[in-house]
Amino acid sequence: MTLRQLAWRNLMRRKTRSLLTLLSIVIGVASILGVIASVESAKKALPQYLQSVFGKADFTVQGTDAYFRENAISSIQAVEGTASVAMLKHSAKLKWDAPGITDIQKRVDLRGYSDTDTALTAFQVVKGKLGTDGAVISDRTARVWGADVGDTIALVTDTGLREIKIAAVVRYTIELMGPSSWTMAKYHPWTVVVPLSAVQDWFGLAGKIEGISIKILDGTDPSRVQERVAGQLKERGEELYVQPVLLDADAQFKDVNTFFLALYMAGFLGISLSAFVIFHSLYVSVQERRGEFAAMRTIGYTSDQLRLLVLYEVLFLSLIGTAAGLLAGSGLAAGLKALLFLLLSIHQEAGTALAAGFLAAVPAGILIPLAASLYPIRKAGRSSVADELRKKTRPVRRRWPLIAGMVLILSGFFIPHLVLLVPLLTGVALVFPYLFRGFVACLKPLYRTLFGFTGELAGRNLSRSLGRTSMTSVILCLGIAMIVLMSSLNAALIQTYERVIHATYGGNLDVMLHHIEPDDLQLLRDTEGVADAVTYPLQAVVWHLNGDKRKLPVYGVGEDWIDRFPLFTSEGSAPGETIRRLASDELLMDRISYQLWGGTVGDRILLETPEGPRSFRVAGVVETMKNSGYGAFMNKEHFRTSFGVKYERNALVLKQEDYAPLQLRENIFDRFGARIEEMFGPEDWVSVISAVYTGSFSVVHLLIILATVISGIGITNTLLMNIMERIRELGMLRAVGVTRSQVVRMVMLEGMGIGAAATLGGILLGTLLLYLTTRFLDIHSLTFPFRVSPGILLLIALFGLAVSLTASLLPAARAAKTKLGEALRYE
Amino acid sequence: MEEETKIMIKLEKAAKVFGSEAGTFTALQETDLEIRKGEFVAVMGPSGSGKSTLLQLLGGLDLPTTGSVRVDGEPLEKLSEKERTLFRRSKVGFVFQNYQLLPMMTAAENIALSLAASRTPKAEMERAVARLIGQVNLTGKEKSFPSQLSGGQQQRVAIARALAMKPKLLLADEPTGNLDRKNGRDVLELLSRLNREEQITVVMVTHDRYAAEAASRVVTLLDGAIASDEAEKAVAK
Repeated sequence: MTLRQLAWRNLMRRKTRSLLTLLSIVIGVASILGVIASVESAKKALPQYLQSVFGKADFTVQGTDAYFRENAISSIQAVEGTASVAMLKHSAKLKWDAPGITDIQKRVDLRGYSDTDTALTAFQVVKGKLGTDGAVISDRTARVWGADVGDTIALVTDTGLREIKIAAVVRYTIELMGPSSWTMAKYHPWTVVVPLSAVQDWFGLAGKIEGISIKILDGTDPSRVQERVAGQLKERGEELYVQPVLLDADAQFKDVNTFFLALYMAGFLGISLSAFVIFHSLYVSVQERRGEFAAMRTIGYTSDQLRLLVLYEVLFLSLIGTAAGLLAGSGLAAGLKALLFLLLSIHQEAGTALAAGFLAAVPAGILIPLAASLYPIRKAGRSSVADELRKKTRPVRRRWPLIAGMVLILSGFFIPHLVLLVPLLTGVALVFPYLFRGFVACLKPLYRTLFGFTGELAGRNLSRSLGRTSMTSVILCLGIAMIVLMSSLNAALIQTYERVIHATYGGNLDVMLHHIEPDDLQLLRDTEGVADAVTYPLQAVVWHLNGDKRKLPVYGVGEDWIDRFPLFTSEGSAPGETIRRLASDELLMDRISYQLWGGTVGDRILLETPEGPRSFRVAGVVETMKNSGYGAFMNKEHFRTSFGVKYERNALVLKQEDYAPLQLRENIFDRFGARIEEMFGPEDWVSVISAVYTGSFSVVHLLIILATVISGIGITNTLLMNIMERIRELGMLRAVGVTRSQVVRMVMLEGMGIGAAATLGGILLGTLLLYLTTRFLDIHSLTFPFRVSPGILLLIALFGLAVSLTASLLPAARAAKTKLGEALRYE
Repeated sequence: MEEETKIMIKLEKAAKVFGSEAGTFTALQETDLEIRKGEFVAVMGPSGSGKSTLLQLLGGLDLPTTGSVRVDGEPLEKLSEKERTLFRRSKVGFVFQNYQLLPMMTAAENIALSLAASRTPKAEMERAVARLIGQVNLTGKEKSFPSQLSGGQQQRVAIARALAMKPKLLLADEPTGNLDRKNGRDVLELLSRLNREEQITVVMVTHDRYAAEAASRVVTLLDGAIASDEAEKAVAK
């Protein structure tokens, strides 16, 4: 019989254990493939998607007034090598008679396009036809409304009821953004694209538009086009200006990359835990076959042949495991990709980038089990014939793991990066057997008191095979620590955001109208539930930064109201005083844009104004979560003169105490109706942020939980080995009158002991990790307090115990079913 | 009826057949056997003759394929798994060739095992252990772990463990198989004393003719059937 055949038979001899080891390789490989393939797909798709959504146009033409004349487009169409679309937006109200649907849920953003079938709109038609007189809606909106091509949409406008037929249903895009349900419609309006003439006609805006999008056709020089368009606009004598469309893909990726890193780490955890299980399983397998190996050596097998035998076993497991892992991983990758696309709002069909995943998962699936088996293989070749045949064991107690572990744990305190997880987790793995010994010593009396006879037996059994049992426990411990870290971070992030958002939102509601008329502010203040209101101007200004162009939202802030409607917090003085001190060419930057800039307070930045680029002095840095915490603030009066914007669109509202936020919105909507483009409150922002972060963390959790399943497999494996090793003991116990249920309880308690040590260790380690990471972690320039929620810890503890309980079921059932006659004969 | 109450073990056409993919194997052919209360029976025979199978059937560790096994009036094949466990706990003591002591427990704790399994109060358990330790001459060794005891001492601990629940039947599978002659003799003397003084019925499987001499009756098995039953020896005694 060849060594390969012998190796195969050895695997078949212990089918359950081989299967469980295989399963851990499968999960490890699948998690690596799943993470890499889905992250690569998202990385590839995100810029393309941003380009397809925000980069359809290369320039936009805007006016300093809310509207300008439609015929401006003919001047632009005269510029060769361009395609252009004129646009006019207005709000309306859907005529929808259904019980329980309030006015606020019927808000519709109408977008009038001079042409709906151009390279600039680039709608992907699901059904119907573009370029006609009808309306265009997204497939998502069509689904919620139950509408189809040819159906009529009825809209309530200032000039009466208007109807338009649906000409096309197109794939969901950012231009046709809308709620996914009627419930979500309380927070976001629907969007319908209609012909430009319809909006002009319905709202008395004949001949008026508010913007023109321009796309440069292939082969045309963009700078020449911009120059010519600017020239054409100047000739017209209107206050129009051309602005490049900027795509800040880097800025978009800034936080996404941290998320991807977390995903990679979760995938890495999966394969690491799998390596632990493989190492453990092989180590025990080699240990229990020492006698067998010794016997083989007496009949002429060399040490190298024995090593090769174990190597073949590992190779078989890793090859089969990798193949199955790739299959499972492809499915996982598709699922994770769908989740990531959902989280990153990528509404685009894209294949899964499996190649990179395969490139990493195949070597990982083969090499990691091989690396994990090196030590057991070495041991297999070293078994002493004389000692083994005499069944002599020489327990060796080494001190180096304890010392090395302590050093690694301590080193984690000095690494201000998530990479600290590697030395810290390795250190804990080395120190854990010593801690486990102490834990079992404390657990024994507790078990004895709580569970009597079975507890006594289980406690004592845990003290045996300490190395094996503690290694099993540490695997689960690491998984639990990661869950503690991630869930606590998740909670800390959301709590911090909530606090900062409420502190810097500028009141209880930000109402955006198309433009604010002189009487609007008083009207708003007179609305029931409103305690106070102010208006403010906002402009997304082009910022010249290191040769690139970026958009920087600049807020015009009134020194008289900023203390009542805080849009930021500043150090040293109150926001009102800070604004009052600003000169006409000075602004305040928020922390994110300040970091992006890389300059220092007192330096100047270059911003585009209607008069061309102009430098502004950065007078200070402030904290805000307005617009995701990215923007700059100027004195309102200076803002007007600098950027020439003559109208305002936003109003900040403070509600009366104890007034329901949703009722306040209803009241404002009743007063302003379809003129309202958006109403957003701090609680909306918190819910959006919570959804995004909880969603992101859920993906990481999913991977970590998958890794924890491997830990469960480790527990099952260890308990099965224990049972196999102690089968005669079990037979004896049953013979002297120990019942099946007592045996089941005993094995379950052993499993629970392993799980309890892991859970306690994991919670402590996770808390330490949380403490260390909150010292340096900053997301969106926010730092997070070290805080652990007892509720979360309790849930995790229950989860850890549930994993160990579930993992103990199979071994307990096996132990209970032990045939007494066979067990007592077993050698 | 009066005769029935004197019977500890009664096998009626009890047979045990093991089945596997390779076919079936008859470990014990249809066997009739009666053992009276207070008897000390040695079961002898070569390897594979069915000795251990018989012992397992008597202890309710396994069930006959056909026929019936009654122990102290209880038809074992009619008892549920749990009832058989409780039956073993209360009426049967087992002694094994390899002692089967739990290595992580002291001698006293090993002895108390079945008492603990049946939730005997601590004080009562301590009294019983002290009595049993004295009975098997191991006073002073209560706190010793099995690895600190000789083979003979370990077997005496195992016997004390078997006696803990005051069984009516003691089943011993090669109790002297791992012991030297002196320790073997001590163990046999102990079993005889228990049989004599406590009126415990003892069934002992053994290869050792010298050990079998301690018994009052010798049943010899061959190929799963009773080849001889030297019951008259007991009568003669």
